[in-house]
Amino acid sequence: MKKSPFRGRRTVRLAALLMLAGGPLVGCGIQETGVIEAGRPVVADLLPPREERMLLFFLSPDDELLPVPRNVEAPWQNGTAGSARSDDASSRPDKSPGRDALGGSSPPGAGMGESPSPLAAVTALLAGPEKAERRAGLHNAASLTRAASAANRIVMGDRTVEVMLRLRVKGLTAAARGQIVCTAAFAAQAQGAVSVTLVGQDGRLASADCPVRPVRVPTR
Amino acid sequence: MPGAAAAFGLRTRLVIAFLLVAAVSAVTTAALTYRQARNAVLVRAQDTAVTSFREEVEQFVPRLPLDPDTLRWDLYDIAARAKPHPWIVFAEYGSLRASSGDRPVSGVLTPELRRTTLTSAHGSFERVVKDGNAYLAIGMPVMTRVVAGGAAVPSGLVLFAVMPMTNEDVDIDSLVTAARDGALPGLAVALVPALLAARSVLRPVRELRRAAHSMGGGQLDTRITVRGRDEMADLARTFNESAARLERSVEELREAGARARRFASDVSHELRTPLAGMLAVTDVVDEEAGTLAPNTARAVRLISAETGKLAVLVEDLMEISRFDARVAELNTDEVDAAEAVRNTLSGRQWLGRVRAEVPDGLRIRLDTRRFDVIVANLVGNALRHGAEPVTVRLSARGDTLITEVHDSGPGIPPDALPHIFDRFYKADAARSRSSGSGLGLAITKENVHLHGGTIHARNAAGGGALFTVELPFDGPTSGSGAPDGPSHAHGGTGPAESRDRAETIA
Repeated sequence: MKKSPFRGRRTVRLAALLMLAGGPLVGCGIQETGVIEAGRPVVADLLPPREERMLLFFLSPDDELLPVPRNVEAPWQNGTAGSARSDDASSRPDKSPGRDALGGSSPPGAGMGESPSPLAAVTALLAGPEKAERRAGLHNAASLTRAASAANRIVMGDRTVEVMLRLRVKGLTAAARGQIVCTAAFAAQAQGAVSVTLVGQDGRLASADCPVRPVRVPTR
Repeated sequence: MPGAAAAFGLRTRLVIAFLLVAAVSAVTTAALTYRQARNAVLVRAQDTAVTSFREEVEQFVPRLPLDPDTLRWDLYDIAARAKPHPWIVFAEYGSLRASSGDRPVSGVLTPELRRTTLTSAHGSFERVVKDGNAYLAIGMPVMTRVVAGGAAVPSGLVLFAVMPMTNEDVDIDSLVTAARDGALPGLAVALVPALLAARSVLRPVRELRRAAHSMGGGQLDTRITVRGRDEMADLARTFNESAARLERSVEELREAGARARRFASDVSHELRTPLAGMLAVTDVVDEEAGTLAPNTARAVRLISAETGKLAVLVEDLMEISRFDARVAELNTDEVDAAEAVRNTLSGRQWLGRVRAEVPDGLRIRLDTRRFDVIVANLVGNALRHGAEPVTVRLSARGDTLITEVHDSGPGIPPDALPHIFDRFYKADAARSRSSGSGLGLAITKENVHLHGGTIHARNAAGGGALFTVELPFDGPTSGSGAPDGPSHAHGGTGPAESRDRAETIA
């Protein structure tokens, strides 16, 4: 009986020793891990040259805004697709001083002058995804499905774009607004760095920036 | 109850402790090394895979808008340039799924990896163990520059690579094997120093035990060789010093004893010469005593009687001191025991008072003078302290001649029985002035032992004291000759007497 505490202490000592010895052995072989961050993403030029495409923002199956390029045959032919008034609107950026002010960060030659007009882009966006795009699960927000040919006019200012729509803009969901804002912004300016105001039949919304902001990713 | 420590010897415990320490350190080292090496192997494979996957994707990434057939061919290109191991490439764009393998989607890709890859702006990887096989799953979101050389936005296209880590598994298994194969021989090697260490501790201990044993056996000059300067050497040194001190003490005691014996012997010698003169004078004075006045005559007779006792005492003292000095000699002759007893009795004029049951024909080798002393002392003792009739009986049992002297007195008091053969022991304090010197029985015992025999005293069943002397017929055996006999007697009397005591009291 008197020995039992000693025996207990001895057992504890032995256990500690075994733990000390066995501890590092736990986990032989290859263990599972959680998700581990591993450096920068792939950065590549997936888009056609700016003058040969429109950049439309559809929603992915996960309802994320995705930039979807759509090829256009010639920069100037697309204008005929819009209404007669769109010629006026699209001619304005050509003469605007925004080339210095807005395109300062973009390399020469990538200015907005040669790109298809924002009105054409917004019109194409509201027309909905094409067959190939639909096959990839791309879609418009629900509140935009009946808004084909709702684009009326686009007024471009210094760092601002006003999009006039023939629909009720206050009923648009955030995703729908984001689609139009981003499409117009990236059409008006190469980096999408302009504020866009949506004006509809029921008034105007506060100007907003495109939530998809280009980021500089270090190449190495 | 002795613990587990006592169940094993010192050597076993030392070796076990040594091996335990070696095992712990070997296993810990092996395990830590293994972990580091495993991590290094995995990290290198992962880093290589992630980097090369990113490079290949950047090289072969398909253009938007996405054409599923082109995408598949691009995936084949990426899969063909897999590094470090073959991988299967999966692509997701919206709801499009494509892969370089048989199935467009992989079961290895976890929802966490998909979600992280789809929502974050960096590559990710994950190790997945499925069905016992380890896979490396890499998720790589593809970002596209909006303008050439400019900033980039997520393109919605994500690519995954799934790479089985078979080679790493093999490498890591071989690491385990190597760790085990290294640790086990290490343990075996550790056994050698363990045994050496145990030996270096045990050898002094064993020497110490041997030395202590031989010291216990009386070899006081035993010493241990001192090696080194450790605790064991200290112990050996202490042992040697203690042994030296003990030897010195014993030597001093022995010398003191010898001095005391020599002193007794010298004193008795010195007393003998004047006593001889005094005895001669007392003889003359005794003859003239009748002519003296009665009071003077009584005094003169007392003086002469006491002088005679003194002479006997001195003779006995000299005899005893001869025994103590181990110079008592045994001059044996082959004699008839009955005749020897009869001679003794007749020489003392005891034939009338003592019944002698002495059968003839018991031939024995003994020193007649000493045998005479034995018988005379015992019979005289019986006559003096016991009561008549006194019987002397001779018999033979095996190799021994048994001489019994039996009186019809009150016997010996039980508390006196153990001391009856001690020097100057008086069984009865009231008889302090008895006629004996007090050395008679002690001398008797020494004489018996000198013959290689034994003597016992007890009270007989029918009353009276019974002294039994057993003497070997062949005389003292070769082992216990004259010089050795007394020493044997001295050494043996202690236990022998205590045994006698037990017998007599029972």
